[in-house]
Amino acid sequence: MTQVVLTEETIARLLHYRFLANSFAYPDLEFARSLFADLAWDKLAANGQALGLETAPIIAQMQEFIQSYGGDVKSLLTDLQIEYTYLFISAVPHVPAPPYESAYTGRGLLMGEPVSQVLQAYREAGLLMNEDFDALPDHIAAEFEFVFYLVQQEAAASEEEIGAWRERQRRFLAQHLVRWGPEFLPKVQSSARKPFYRLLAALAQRWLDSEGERLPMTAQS
Amino acid sequence: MSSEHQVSRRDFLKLSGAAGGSLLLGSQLRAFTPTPAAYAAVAEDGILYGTCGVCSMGCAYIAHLRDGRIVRLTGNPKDQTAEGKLCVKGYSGLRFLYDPDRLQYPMKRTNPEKGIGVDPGWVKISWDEALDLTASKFKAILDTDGPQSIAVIARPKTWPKHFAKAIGTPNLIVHINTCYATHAAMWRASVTGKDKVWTVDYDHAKYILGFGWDGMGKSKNRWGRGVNRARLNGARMVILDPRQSITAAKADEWIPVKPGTDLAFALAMIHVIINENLYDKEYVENLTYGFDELEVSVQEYTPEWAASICEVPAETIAHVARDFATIKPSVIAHHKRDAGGPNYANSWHLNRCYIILDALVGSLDRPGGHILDRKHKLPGLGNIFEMPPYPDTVKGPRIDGLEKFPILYGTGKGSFSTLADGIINQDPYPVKAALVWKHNLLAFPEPARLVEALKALEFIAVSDILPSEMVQFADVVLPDNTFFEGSGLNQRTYQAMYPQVALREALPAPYDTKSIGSVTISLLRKMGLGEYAPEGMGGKAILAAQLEALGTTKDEIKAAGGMFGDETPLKPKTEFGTPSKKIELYSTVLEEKGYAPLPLWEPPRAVLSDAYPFHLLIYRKPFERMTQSQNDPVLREFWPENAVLMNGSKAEEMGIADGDEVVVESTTGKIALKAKLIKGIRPDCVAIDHGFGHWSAGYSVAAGKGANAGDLVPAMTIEEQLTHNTPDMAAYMEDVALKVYKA
Repeated sequence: MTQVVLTEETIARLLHYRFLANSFAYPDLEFARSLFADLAWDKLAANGQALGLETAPIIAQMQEFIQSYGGDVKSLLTDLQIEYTYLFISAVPHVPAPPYESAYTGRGLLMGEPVSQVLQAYREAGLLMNEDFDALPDHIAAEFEFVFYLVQQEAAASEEEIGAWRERQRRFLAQHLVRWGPEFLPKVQSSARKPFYRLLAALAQRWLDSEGERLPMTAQS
Repeated sequence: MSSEHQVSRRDFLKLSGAAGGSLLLGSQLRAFTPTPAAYAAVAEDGILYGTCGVCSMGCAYIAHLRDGRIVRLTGNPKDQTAEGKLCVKGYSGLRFLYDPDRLQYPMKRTNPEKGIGVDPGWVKISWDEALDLTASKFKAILDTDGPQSIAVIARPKTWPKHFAKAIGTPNLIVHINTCYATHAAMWRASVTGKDKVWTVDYDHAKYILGFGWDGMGKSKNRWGRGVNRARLNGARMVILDPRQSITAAKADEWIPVKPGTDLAFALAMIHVIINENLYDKEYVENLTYGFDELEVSVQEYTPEWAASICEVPAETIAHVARDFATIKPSVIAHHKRDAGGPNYANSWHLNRCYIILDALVGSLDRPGGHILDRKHKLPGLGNIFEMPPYPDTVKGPRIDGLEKFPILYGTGKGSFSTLADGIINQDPYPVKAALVWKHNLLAFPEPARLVEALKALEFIAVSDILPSEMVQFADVVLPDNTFFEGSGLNQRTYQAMYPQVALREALPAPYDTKSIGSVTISLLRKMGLGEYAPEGMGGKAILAAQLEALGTTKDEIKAAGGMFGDETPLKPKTEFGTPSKKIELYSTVLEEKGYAPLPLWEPPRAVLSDAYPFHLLIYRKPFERMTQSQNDPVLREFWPENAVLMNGSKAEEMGIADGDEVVVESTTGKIALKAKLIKGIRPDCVAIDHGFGHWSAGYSVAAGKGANAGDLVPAMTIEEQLTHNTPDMAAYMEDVALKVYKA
């Protein structure tokens, strides 16, 4: 049986991308429940620490926020859904942080050129959009999940394919997430009314910064 | 933690992919499906046929696709309306589809308090929950209070009409009396027996006369081209308008008539044309009814008499009358909110004059004139699906009192000016809930009254595309499809020289939206009214039945370029839809319902005074669509907000400089805007462009920009509406006196 060597870095990257993809999706009951698992938070903090990320204080605040619900999953879920709807879907005042790359390019219309670009990247990596995915292809959660998938493929790839999977990650991050994340995430941080998404955005920004250093973003982007 | 972990490939995939539930490892891919074929897939380019829904002209477009998104629109060259081109509004129609503020998912409010500036506290919900919640509320109210307690405030299209009738409410509330009620009622009573005539053969006209008509300024695609062609062929154009509109600026003659007095001008024209024997005798003899009575009744309306009322020299009136009758074909250009639309208490008489003038010169349903409907016969809901008759309750008294205005009632539409008072005063009964589709608060006269009315309702469901002011009062938001996401057939109406149908192919909805048709069917089934939503009901079945009736298929229409129906020569009509089968100069229909059968002089409602010395004019711009397009940041770059147009000399007299903030006030309300000083407007008028004053913070661009002239226009009680008792039940949107002062 083929053996896969998982470096600490690979594990940390998988965990972070999965975490970010899950957390930027519309919260459901399963997600709300999972937030109460301390072990997961500890693991995320430890993995961040191992890469020198210093996200532990942010994670501690997120945990503190979750714990303030004393295990009341339903209340947490309701609050998260209202907050998510407010930040990312429809709000008074207007939706402060549309979670779509197209909103931050060109005329600011959704379904812009970035959609064609990401779909092309997804296809080249062997992925089609899920029919029941109810958001647009350039949604922040989809883009995070895509890099998760690329890291997964890299880790499972044969020696000669590793470079190609790594290059896909580098290119996608440079052309997309590292480019518009810094426009989108501060909007989340400044508009959030409850700590969860504010902290999540801060964590995501640190993560993208560290990825930018890990994979050289300037070359051949 | 050791620095490396050796795991098997299978375990690894399990670890990072398939393990369910945890925050970090998550479930399987949510957004994607790994598909070997994806590697080989290429961007899907292609086209979709459709019809533009920005304005009611409905030009056929071709949408050019890449990766499932529309990247470009072009006009369909096979369409007699579009002729291969769209207008500025049509080309920018993608804004509605891809606006980041678009309503993308069903939502419900978590804050029960409703009001201007109150955050509804939206939370995304599933369609099941949204429809269950709406159906159960409606059902409960239906059972305890009766069907009349539910109002359907919607554009008068197939599905909302069906929903209203199936639940048994008489209250289908439509915007017509702020739009074209006057035209609809007068054409019904004089020519068609149905509705207004929309097609105008401008291409072949030699003389085009408009009363406050600004077809160029509204960038009506096909009509703009038609008028330009006519002008290149030497046609004259004369425009009466207190403001030098875009159309007036392009005319041979601009006549700055006093607002609300165009009627005097038109009556005097009839006087001249008849008394100088300039009318088309053969046409009048064969195709009209009541000429002799008309001749007698206009004797008092001399040009000299009219001159003193409309402040236009008698010679001008006489020469326009003579030119109109002798430079032929000649036509009165009109559409909706012109001087003969629901703007003034005497507009209905003017609208009758439009028809009479066209008939006197023999241009009605003749080349160069207004052309009656040329349409294919298409089966509707009632022909396609087997359903029980609608309940008799649909014929009951209405909350807006429309049944007291029998001619407009015949069109089955409704009134925006009396709805609020009906609800607030519970006259003739309480209304408890509403389903709203595509009607916004800002389109109503005196929206503040409607706000009060909406607050009085127990439950409101709103289907719309953008987070409009109306949406802010919703309990449940049902995100609607745009016209790009709908399918079916669309009859040519605004330019239908021959019957032609456009195919509409749906762009797969990128968001979690549903059409009002789909919502209607679900709600009826969930409310236990499944007999009105039988198995198989839906757009697909309608399209299939209509294609069968036409004897064609979708593929055939696509192969022919998206349009069905070959050009045929115009066969002039010799019979009309009136009791006499003629064009009724003397309207027996009006007479039967107790209205004046011949046009008479009546003054407008508003009387200027020292306290209120200005007339209100409301106008529309070529690139703006009513209250719907203000959220476009590109438009806002070059037209940031609306302003008050004032006559420069007059403003100077008042110490108002260009750019000064001024207050415009009526007895109903007041708004503040910047003054823009121009030469091309009468000193006793101010003009405000429509569409601004959005307060819904749901609009990231439009919110807080400009003000809404509708705030100055009074809503009415039924009693007030009945004191005017005009057959068009109009909202008299410009029949308002104002004062203007520096803020």
